[in-house]
Amino acid sequence: MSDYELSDEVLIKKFQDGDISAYNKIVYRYKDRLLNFIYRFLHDMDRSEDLVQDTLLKLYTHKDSYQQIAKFSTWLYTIAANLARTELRKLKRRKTFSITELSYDDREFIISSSDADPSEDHLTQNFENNVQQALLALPDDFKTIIILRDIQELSYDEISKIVELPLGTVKSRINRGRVKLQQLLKNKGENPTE
Amino acid sequence: MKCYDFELNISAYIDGELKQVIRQSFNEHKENCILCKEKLAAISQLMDKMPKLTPVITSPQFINNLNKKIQEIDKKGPSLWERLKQIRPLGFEPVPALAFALAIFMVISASYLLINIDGLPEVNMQQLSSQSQQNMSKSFKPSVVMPPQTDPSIADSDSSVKPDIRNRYDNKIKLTGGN
Repeated sequence: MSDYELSDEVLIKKFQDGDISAYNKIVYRYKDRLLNFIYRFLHDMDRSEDLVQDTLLKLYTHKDSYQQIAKFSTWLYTIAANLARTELRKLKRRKTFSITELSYDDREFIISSSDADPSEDHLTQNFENNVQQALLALPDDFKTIIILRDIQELSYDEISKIVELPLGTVKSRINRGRVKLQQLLKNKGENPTE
Repeated sequence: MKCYDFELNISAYIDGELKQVIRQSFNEHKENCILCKEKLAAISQLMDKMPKLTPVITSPQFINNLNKKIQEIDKKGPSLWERLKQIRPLGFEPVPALAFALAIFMVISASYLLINIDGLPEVNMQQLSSQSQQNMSKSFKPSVVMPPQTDPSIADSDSSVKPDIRNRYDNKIKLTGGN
């Protein structure tokens, strides 16, 4: 079995035993996934990269905190989610970034999609922008869960562990989050069925 | 099923988690309510498109920057906490060890305080007796207990009886005697 096929749990065990190359493999495996998660949260590439680095540094310095009872990805996403939420709170406090400004009244990103690619796999830039802005306008509780479920495609069970909420609450919030997201997109003139 | 209930069950419907009875009711409402049908279609499409959003990737400097930060951490060495973890004071992890030490400290402090409260002060009896004698001679003033002042004309001079009551009854008393 090549190293690339080793499970996360095996790699972290190796790293805990002092194998630094196992850490590098985890970094390569997770850096982009974590960036996608945090970027959807903050919509700021530089900050998001910094937070991914902070997450991976925490993994480096607190490797012994991980215990095999939990799934590694759940543990890592929990660290990233906590850092992202803390960062978002800081940003809100500094008022350098206002979610409300980006919500209902912000229509500057709605541009004609006459040059849209009708391909299913290639979404229009316009749609992506609208989804991103709608995600930012979602309340934090819904945003985390929706990103984890609908973009990162984690299981309900994993999400429940990451956000430390009962499974029923997670499912309920995902449903409400999707309805809110669809409503926000509708307000922005976006219809995913088109 | 009402629109509100329909909305609550959208995700469960898409995930195929609705029970047969509710699913049937859901489908009936879907056929009868255009708004709900559109909402279901929109959410379903949205869920289909979300994972296909263009992924962002880390910059080429990402790994270099991370390595620099790791080198800085390595230069600094492990933190005090990490060192404590490695030492394992008293054979415990740092947190239980600190809790154990704190508990012992509190027990010792509490027993010290209790001893001070309950213990009697040391007394020099000779010094105390000479001091008390001196004090007695200086400040001894015999107290005189005065009897309560009463009216001698009243035979029953019980001071506890109120004067007005006493007068009322005294006036009615007639002394009678023999010849």
